[in-house]
Amino acid sequence: MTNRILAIAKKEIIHIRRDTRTLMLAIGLPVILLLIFGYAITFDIKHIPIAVCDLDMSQKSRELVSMFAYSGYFDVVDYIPSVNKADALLNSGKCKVVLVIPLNFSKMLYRGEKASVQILIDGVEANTTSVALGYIQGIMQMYSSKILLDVLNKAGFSNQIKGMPPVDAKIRVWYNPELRSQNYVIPGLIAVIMMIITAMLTSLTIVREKERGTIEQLIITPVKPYEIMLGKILPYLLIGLFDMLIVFIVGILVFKVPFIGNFIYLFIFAVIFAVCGLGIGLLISTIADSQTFAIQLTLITSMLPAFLLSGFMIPIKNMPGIIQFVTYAIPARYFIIVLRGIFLKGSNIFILWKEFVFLSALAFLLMAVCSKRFKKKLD
Amino acid sequence: MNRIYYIIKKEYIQTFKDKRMVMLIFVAPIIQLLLLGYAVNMDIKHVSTAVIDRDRSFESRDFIRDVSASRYFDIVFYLKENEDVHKIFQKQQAEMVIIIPPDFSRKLKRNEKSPVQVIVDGSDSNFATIVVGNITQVVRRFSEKYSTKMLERMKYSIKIPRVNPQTRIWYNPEAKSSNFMVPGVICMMLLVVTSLLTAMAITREREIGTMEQLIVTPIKPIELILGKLIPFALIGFCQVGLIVAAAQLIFGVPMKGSVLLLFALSGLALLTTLGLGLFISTISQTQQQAMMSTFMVIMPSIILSGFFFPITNMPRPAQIITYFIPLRYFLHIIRSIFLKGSGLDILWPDALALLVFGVAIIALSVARFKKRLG
Repeated sequence: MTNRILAIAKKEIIHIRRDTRTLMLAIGLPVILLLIFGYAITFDIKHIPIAVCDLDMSQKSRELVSMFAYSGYFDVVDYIPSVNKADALLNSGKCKVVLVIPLNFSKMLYRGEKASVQILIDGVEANTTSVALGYIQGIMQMYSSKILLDVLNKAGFSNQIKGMPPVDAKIRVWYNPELRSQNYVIPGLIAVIMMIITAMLTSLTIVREKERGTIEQLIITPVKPYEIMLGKILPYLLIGLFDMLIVFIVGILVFKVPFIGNFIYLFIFAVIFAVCGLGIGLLISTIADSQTFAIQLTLITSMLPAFLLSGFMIPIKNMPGIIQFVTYAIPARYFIIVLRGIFLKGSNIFILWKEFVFLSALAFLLMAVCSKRFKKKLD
Repeated sequence: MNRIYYIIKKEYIQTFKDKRMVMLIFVAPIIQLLLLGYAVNMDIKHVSTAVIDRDRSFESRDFIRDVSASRYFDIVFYLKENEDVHKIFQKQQAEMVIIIPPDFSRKLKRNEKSPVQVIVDGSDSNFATIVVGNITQVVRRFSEKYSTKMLERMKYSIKIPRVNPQTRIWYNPEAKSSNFMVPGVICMMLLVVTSLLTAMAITREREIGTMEQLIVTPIKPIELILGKLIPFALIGFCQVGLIVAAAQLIFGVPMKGSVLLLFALSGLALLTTLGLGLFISTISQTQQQAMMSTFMVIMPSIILSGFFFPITNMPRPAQIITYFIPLRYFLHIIRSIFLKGSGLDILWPDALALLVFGVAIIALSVARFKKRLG
């Protein structure tokens, strides 16, 4: 039995070796994605271009503007004389925020009253908008506190000022203290890459034989259906694990992603996850008759979910309830939790037992369905 | 001319022979739309928080109430004394832990700075900076509230000046993520489907062997190319129409600009995507190769185009690379037309870029194609 499985595997390997393009993808894709996500993509939002319309031109208004400029989040790109210019600036995208300080700004402050400022913000990029709003609120609060301290000081309450602000939050960030995007993204990338490679390549391999007509030749041989199945997926399992290693090594050596867990656990989970991906690919290959169709189906059922629904970039908690429910069926969701846990928190397999059970169950289920369909289709 | 028409007809018959293919071409955009429109939401809310209140005073409970009242944090449970915060994070039971020391209220009343410990799980939140920012805000607001109360209590009637920001959000007043994501689906769909289908359709003929049969016919290479590209261009336009309709009907994305302009500029973008498909077909012998190559190009394009991650956030070298990605311009065009109502007077640089890239890619691909046939 194993002889026949190995024979099929060897045949598959020869096919793969002849197709250098596929090999290039299998190795090139992780590298390209690593480069992009390691260097180009960051979730930190800084250098937000802001234009200022200061109608007050007082010391106080200039103080406020300098708080924006020195915050490290905003770049003051333009000073406009009137609000009319704001429209053109925001529309063209030259700035994302316009700060309008009215004429009576400092007067209101001296009188001890509320001084209003206007903020016009470009809402197209919703995420940047809410982040920018958060920064703006923070800066406003800091400025208000500063004013409060000034007033209290002048009024002779220097005693009270010692205790201001009353509550002092000492915030510590664990596992990723420098808050580097790479530490969050690169472990997740392993899941995405493995899913893409295993599902895509496996789905195409059988459909290709169907399209070319060589599947009948396989059926004629004494090889049993499940042996064909296992033999075909074996090389892709190896490629998937190889890709995992590439991201692992490059991530740790080049991008300095911390790894405080145990590699053996990572390996075990990677194998189970790879089987899930292979299972999905195999399933698709039993449904599709043309490679074009197979590829589109793989796109929708494994690649898109791995990118968007797995928690790779977007927290699952943010999604509406129905979609959160759907994510329970996506293997990448569990694997990403595992990856971040092992890399950054040093979690072991016992803490991650829930994910272990889910992934194993999914893998088993997929393989069972596949072998049944395989037998039917080939007979 | 007739010959082009027959090639187009043949292509349609082949493509739509598989009913499931039809479904996929028109269902896939809807699925993507639903996914991106509903699922993708980058706001940080409902951060699960665990609290240890060692003070158990009126002030500490007030503080905790403020934290849970803010829309950012959900208090999920109260910790017992010596629970291991490490385990809580590992088991994913909470993303943030607040530890209130036993002298919290005492220090407040004595007018001293009263520390509160906050531990954030940095591995789970790609926006841990924002979480930190949010909790800082909540703490500051509580501080302000407390200072004001304290000053009032001391019966000092100083008028406290405050800066009051009035915010107006333009183009997307409710700051809906879907308004940002949904128009982008047009670009993604167009790029993926038209490039992929074109590349694979042409390569399939080569792989199966029917390409030689085509060459033997009196058809000229340019007619063959047009015949192969036009059906997918038409499919592309249909998809654009479908998504524009769905965007407005299902998601309520406003369409402030001219739909005609949108279709016209989509046509320009189609030049680039079809050109890409054609080019890849000239460098591939099998469909698998065609598909792999298309993906190697498409995936970085989508990620770097500004679809998910604003280009202004990227480091300078990466930003320069994005100037060579046609999708970047198309994305800007689509979003501007939908949300800002921009016209050609503002969008002409992007349109020009698309035109230049499109013509270049198609010219190059046609040249290669002719060489291979001849």
